[in-house]
Amino acid sequence: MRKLSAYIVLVVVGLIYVAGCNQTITNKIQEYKAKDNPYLNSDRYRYGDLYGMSYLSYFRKSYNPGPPIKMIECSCTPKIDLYTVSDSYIWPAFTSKKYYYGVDKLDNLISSHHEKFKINLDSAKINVLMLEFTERNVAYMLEDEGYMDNILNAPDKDKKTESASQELNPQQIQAKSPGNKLSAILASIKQFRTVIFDYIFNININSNLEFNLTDNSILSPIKELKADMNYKLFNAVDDNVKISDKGDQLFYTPTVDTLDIMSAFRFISDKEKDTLVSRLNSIYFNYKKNGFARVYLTIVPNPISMLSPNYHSLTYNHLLERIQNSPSLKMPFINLLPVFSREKNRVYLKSDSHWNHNGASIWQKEFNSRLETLLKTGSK
Amino acid sequence: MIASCYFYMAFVPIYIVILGFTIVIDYFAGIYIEKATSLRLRKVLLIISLTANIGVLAFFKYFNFLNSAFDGLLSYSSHHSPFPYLTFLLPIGLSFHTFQAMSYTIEVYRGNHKAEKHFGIYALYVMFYPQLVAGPIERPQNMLWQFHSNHKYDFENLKSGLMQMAFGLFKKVVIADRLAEIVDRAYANPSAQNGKTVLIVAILYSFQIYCDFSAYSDIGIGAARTMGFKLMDNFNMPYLSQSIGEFWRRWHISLSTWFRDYLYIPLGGSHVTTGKKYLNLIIVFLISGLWHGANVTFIIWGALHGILLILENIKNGIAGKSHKNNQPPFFVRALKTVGIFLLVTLAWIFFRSPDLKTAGIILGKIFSYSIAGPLNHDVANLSVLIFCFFVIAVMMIKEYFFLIIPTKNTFKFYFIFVSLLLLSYFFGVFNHKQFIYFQF
Repeated sequence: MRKLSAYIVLVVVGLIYVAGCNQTITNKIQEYKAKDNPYLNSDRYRYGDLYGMSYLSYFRKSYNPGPPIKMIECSCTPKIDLYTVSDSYIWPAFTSKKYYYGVDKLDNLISSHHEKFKINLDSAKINVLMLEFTERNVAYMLEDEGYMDNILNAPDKDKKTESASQELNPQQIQAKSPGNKLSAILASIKQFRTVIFDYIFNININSNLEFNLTDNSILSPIKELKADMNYKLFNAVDDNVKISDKGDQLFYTPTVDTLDIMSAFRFISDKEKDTLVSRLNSIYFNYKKNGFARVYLTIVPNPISMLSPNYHSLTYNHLLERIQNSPSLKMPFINLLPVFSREKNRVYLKSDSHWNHNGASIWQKEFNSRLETLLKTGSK
Repeated sequence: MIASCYFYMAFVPIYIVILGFTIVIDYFAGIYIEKATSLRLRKVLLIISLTANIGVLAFFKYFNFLNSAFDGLLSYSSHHSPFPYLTFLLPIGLSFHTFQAMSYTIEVYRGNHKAEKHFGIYALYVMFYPQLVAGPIERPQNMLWQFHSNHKYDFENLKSGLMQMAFGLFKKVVIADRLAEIVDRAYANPSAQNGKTVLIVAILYSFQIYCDFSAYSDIGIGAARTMGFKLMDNFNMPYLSQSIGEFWRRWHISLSTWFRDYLYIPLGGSHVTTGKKYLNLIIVFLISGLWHGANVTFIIWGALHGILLILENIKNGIAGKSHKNNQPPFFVRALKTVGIFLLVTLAWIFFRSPDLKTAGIILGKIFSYSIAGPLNHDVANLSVLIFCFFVIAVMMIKEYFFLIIPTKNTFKFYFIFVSLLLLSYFFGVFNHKQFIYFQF
């Protein structure tokens, strides 16, 4: 009997391991967990991303995203093609063109250098680009050569005429050249080896297993018990999270850590700030040159910059203000600082590194007023 | 064997080729050493085997260190080393399995063990996954016969192995990784700490490294045990030692006995003149320091232990004539234990410091007036410290009374095993921190 039990355990553990190694199976499990299921679905993002890192029960209870973001009812003829290059503040919340004034087509591009942007302009429309950063990632993105290369080349006319199906991968290019057949074979072997290794030695195996086995709402109370106990006994929380001095707000650690490029407390010289401004200007002029009627910039203030700029007596670098107030900056921007400073206690989620619906709605209102003016003046 | 290959390849798959290369060389070297009739040929074959092993170790582990030293020398004449620095990762457990492989060919050469004819079994001896990454560094006498034996499923082995693994997990995540948070904070900015803080941190590091390393040994020994294999013990309450010599008989036993058998004794051991004996000790400890890592801090750590051992030998030589066979009273023994612990702790400062400057700052702080200053609570708050000292005390008491928790009674086994897992989960720190000795 014991022997049989041991074999059963071995088979079950083996299957769990294989599922963790295989990204396709893990993705399927992830999709299943994303569906509404009272016991098995994931709580990792349900009550805020920082709650999902810390599992402190207080922040689940205090989760309040605010009233839903309203769609725009516009009697106008939509003429604007809107391209947003944004991070997780905008693209998950504003998924429909109905959130924007007079927009006929919306293309949400995610500002990560891993994604290749493709922008195909319709010259009959008013083309608008909305470039959004959060204060925490403005330096991180603009100082990344991959991102800059990607964003500067996105509206390149030569590139956009080439359809995805016509693109050749390096192996195909090599294979077309008769002298390079051996290299092509070697490249194929390398590619095959990479696929095999990815399946057998998946580098995400630990996080996959953790997700598949423990990321279920049924286990969240146990995780909360551990987190609460460690916080109360040792004042210890997950490394990715910091707690405000009052204990009622979570902050994302990279925005606090003075050595991190995302930190609001990292020393940023005027030279570095000028480089960032100069890169923003390059993007601006590049898109204007390539047929965009308007290019707008939004830099969303960090929660910590608004709520706790003196966190643990650290010195806030005021990066956002310094960029916006720079006389060299040519790109028009949506200035959220005045409203966010005034409304700071109601624009952010307590358990998330993002804004809540109130914050998003404030931005939406400010941006839509620009679009409305643009539509009324009709300039291209 | 398949599991061991998979385990090794999970880090950098291609490195299995390097390991395979040394396994093939050592396998054939063993067979031909045994067959060879002339001593000269046996010696040549041994040298080939040792050169292959040491060569791989030196290339991966010491090339950059030597290149940097060479660069430093050339810089006096405004030149730079013509060799580029290597940027690839160190193969995991390299120092451990290289030493284990060398012990095989040396034992065959000495005629203490027969050459292994079965290639798979020899490969498994080098690659056996429970101890592949951080030991214990096994000997052929203890392992090869076990691989030839038929291992049947045994519930007692399973219980005992799982219990040792659970206790290892507890030591790693509850004690070592909690201490690591405090130690890392202090070492990240040693100048900002006062003497009292760095002294406490240095003491905590002594327990961190013990819990971290012995936890890996526990998990490795336990994992092997579940399959019916018995690995050698690697630790035996080293911080209860009353002398540096005793410390080395209790700390990383598999490495210290390796150095004793394959370096110290061949150099002449203690059957030479006093001066030569001390020289041998220093050589062994310098190499032991270098074995841990290609950094001058490890060399100084090794040298300190060598010097302390020599001083101890000199003292014993003098005291031995007047106080032979006198057992000192308890408080003297306790005082000696504390004294040895503090000396070992001071030496660990070099081991933990990334460079000599950091070690200098920490030692300077300890021996300064700031020792009387208040504890820096940003490094360690009081509740964490109390908790740490409490669990350390529990661990020490447990290890004093029984190194391995008995598992004969199945009910007690389940109770203790589940309790250890729950305690590890609720009080453990899970920040993906690797075992310290993985880097070696």
